[in-house]
Amino acid sequence: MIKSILSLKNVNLSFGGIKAVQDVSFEIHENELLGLIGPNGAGKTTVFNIISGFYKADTGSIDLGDVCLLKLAPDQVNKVGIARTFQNIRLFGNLSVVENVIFALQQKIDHSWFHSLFRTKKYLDIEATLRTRALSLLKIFSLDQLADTPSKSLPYGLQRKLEIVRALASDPKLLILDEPAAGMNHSETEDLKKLIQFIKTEFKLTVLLIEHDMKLVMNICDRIVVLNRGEKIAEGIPAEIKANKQVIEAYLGKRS
Amino acid sequence: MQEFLQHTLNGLSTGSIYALVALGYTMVYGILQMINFAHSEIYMLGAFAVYYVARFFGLNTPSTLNFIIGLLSAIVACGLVGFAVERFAYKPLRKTDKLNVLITAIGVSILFQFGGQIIFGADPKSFPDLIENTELFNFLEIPFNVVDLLIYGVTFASLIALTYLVNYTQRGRAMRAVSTKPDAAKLMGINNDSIISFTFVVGSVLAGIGAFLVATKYPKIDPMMGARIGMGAFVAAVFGGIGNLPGAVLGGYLLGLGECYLIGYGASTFREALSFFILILILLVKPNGLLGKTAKEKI
Amino acid sequence: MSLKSKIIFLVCFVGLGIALNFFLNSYIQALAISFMINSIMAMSLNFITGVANQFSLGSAGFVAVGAYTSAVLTKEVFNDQWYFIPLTALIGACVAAFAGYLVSLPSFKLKGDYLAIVTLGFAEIVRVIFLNWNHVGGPRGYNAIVKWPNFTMAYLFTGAAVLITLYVLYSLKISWFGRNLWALNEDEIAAEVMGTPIAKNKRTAFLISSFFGGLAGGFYAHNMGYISPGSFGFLLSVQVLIITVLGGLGSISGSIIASIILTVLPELLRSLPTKVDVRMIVFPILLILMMIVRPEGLFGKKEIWTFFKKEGGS
Repeated sequence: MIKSILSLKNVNLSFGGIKAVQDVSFEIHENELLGLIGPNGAGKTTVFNIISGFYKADTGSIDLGDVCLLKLAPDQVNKVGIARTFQNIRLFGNLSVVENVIFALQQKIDHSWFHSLFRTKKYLDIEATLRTRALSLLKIFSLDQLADTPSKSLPYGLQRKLEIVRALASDPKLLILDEPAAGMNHSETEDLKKLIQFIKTEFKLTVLLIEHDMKLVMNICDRIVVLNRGEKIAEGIPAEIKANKQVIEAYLGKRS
Repeated sequence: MQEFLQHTLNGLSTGSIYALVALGYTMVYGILQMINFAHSEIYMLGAFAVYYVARFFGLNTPSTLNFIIGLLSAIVACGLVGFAVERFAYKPLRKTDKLNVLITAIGVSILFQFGGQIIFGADPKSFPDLIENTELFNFLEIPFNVVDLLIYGVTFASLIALTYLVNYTQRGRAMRAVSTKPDAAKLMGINNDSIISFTFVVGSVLAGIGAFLVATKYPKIDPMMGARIGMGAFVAAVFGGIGNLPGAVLGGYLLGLGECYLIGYGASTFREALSFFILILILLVKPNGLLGKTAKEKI
Repeated sequence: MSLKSKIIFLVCFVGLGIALNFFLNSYIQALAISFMINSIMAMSLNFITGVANQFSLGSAGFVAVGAYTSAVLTKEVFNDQWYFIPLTALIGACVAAFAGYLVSLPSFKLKGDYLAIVTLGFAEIVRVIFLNWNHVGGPRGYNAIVKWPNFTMAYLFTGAAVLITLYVLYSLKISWFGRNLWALNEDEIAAEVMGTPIAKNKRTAFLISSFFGGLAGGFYAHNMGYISPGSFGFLLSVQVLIITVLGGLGSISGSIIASIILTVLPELLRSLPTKVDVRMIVFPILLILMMIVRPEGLFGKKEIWTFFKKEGGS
């Protein structure tokens, strides 16, 4: 039986009378790569922001396993197991590459003020472990050579990569990628494709991907959900979506 | 009833001054997103400019001409100082962290306050009598004088002029463009630096008008007079919604009235804390002020 | 530091206190204590503004709360016994920390200028409350506060407070908490998404900073023997800000160096023939020039000792 990990049911959100998201329901199954697509202004990013806790849905429900996400703030959403990246990369630019990762790792640890203040052995051990863990994670993505450079001085493609690594560091059940191919050229997109497939299998993750690049989505997604004007208009495997009349209309306009 | 009316009238004239000064804060904030701490000192310098001009030309008899000369010298002096402060203290920092500009502004403000105490002397000076303050009429034993009329009249005229400038002229359109989208404005061929300069000058001129009116009504001026009104005026701007011109005027009048009722009904020692109290209350309840728009960061 | 160097340091610290009691004249002694108190205030501001990037103009408010609390307690509870000063100063610091926590409640959403104004407003409100509170002297101030019995005691306790402040704030700066704050001021949204509660971190930072502000206040009261609402105006906050900026926002130890400079410098100018406080001319000029020439301050975000260590040291 297919186990669902995240389920949205009848989610609605309007901004001052404009319905940004209307009655959207879909499920993400464990270990799948679900693509969320739609033309500009379809409400993709809004759905993302509802899931990650920045917007509160007016009605409907969102559950991660048994946990209801509706009332959680973004930091709590992360704690229950959802990590995300951003369309316009949001790294901590002046922190070094490894510190970006350590920051994500340390959120999972209960720190003691006493030990940190007196810099006890226990505290120093924890710090050392965090760094080792961060470095070994970076090594998997061959970023370990750059560990101590400030993250803002990385080239664009590597910044994307680091943002994904940082999200992985918070040990999520579900990873949400918000237009990771934005601003990438052909060969960078190819690398990204491999990267996504790699983390999906290697970390046994469920991935939700918002993307504009149709080729990428059709290539790597297991299933696809299509939004248009805040409503879900289609759901299915890539081949079905390609043939779906409504989807073609949404993207190309009605043929008259 | 009579007492209430008196406090209301006082509140309206205090409010007029707050409104004029608050406009300068709000305009600069709208265009540069910085609190121009030195604005209140530009206001103070306006009053001293009139004092020295009057002394230099020996103007000490009340007449309409002298009044106009006084008003014009406040306007010119404040415009020049506003221009200079922006050009020499803030402009070099345009590209750096906003915190640096804010710290500089505090520095300029303190420098003017204490530099003023050295140059002008710390003791209050008598402001020259430039207009005959005769009683126009009397309502419920409350006198309504020429100076009151002038405060309302000049404030009103200034607001009309500003509204016209901002809404119906080429420069006003450019000002609005720069304050909403500076980068786009630059691409459309607007010279942002000159518009920012111009905004400072206009704001400073309004402060100068305010200072001149205050000094005409309460003819004692000293280098700390700006510090006393500055924070209140800034709070008025936040109250109305920072960056919003009608908001600053509304905030100014509401704060002026509030303070005068507070003083009138016997809580004068708390006057200084009132504006901040209001401020904290607004930020809790309606952080964008009465007429301000909400802006959400794009994620 | 090894145990041996710790002991040597302690002996030097105490020995210096006893020696200076005989070798310095009382004018220099007073300057030394006031430099120490200034540096506690500056380090406290540095933590909230330099490390946590929360621009505060309310130092004077926290200092005032600490000063009044400690002064009133020694007089009314502890019978003017000087050896209770460390205890009362600590209680004052706790009360100030509580005040800081209250201020942070509405302000966690505010950034930059707005926060500056709210903290400034808080300090003004505190001042007006003391101004209207007759039990503590109202505008006349609070008199005859118990002082340290001699310079050595003043030096030892105030100096210890400086060292503790430096140690605690520096440890926090380089700890996980400091990393949280740093990430927060790089990108709040990203930090939140990665699992850090914004408000909680900011509140904690405020609490810690105002604790040390209050501590400085306690020492200030017992050093002066007299406090009044006038001592805790906006200008005090500005002075503390100037010290902090000069030392470098983010460099805790830089604040100590800067307070030496800014405590001594105005004394050299004291002979100038003017009634106006010369500091208030020199400081703002220094501040404006700094912003243009070296906005990061003397030490930037670095601590002094990093300049003596070789590259790659920890």
